[in-house]
Amino acid sequence: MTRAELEDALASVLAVSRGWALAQTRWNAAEADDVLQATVLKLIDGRARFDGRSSFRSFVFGVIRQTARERRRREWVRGLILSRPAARAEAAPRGGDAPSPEARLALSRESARLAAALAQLPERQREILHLVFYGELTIEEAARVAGVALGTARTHYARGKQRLRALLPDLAPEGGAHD
Amino acid sequence: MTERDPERRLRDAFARLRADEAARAPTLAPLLERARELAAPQRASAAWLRVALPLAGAAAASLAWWILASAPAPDAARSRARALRAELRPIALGSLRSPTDGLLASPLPALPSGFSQSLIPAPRVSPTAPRGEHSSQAAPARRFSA
Repeated sequence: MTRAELEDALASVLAVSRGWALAQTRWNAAEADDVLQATVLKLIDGRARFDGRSSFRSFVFGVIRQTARERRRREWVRGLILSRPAARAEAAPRGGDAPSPEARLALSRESARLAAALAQLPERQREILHLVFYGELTIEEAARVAGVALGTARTHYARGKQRLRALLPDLAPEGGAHD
Repeated sequence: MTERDPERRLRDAFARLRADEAARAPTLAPLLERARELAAPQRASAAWLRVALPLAGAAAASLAWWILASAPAPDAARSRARALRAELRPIALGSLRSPTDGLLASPLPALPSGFSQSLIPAPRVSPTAPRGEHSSQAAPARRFSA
């Protein structure tokens, strides 16, 4: 993949990648932009290479997820070294993080409800649903990005939809996956 | 309303969320520009490391070589230790000498008449004596009865 091809491919997935970065950073826009920037840097300087074994979109999502995790881990260690409980708490592994009030204000009412409901799901379920519905990946691709087996991803997908149905009765998601 | 409608509604909801967020998504150009700025110092530090690491390796290897070369060879060290032991042996023996050592050099006093060397029985172990005790010690009177 040449530099020009890489930039074209990046431009085509940038918007949806930012959404994934937001989901990975508790809808914190500043953190998400940092993660996206670090991801672009990794792709440009060759630290992350696309080998063509998956779709470019799922590859970029995988790099974003990895980068967000590295960042959280680094922040956690930094908090540990500096003995800042606040920093540790902020960087600690999370589950069920709601979007910040600023992030909610920027969304439409329905989108804010969906984001809040997603935030109440366990991390794996949220990731799989986000990757499938928001990132428009197949369950197989989502499983690869999330680093779980296909069967596990299917389970998280089904349970996540069930939970969303309970949280958002007007959406009532049902039916099969598009894999 | 079909059975797929709830699924479609969910997809629509995610599509709206995507559209809301996409409105604020950055364009690629500033990200690329910033990435190039960030990559430049990294490349510079990588170039610096490419020079510094071999130099440090060469210095470490030289130091190790110097330490190994200045240490004595095993054979030389062994012969030196042997010579030292030979020098120290007389001193060590001299230090063990006591005032009674001279008696060993003088001849033994003669036995009184009527006694010969053969009359002195060899030490025998008595079956009644405690272990390690000679019969000569158990019954000294029998020694000169003849």
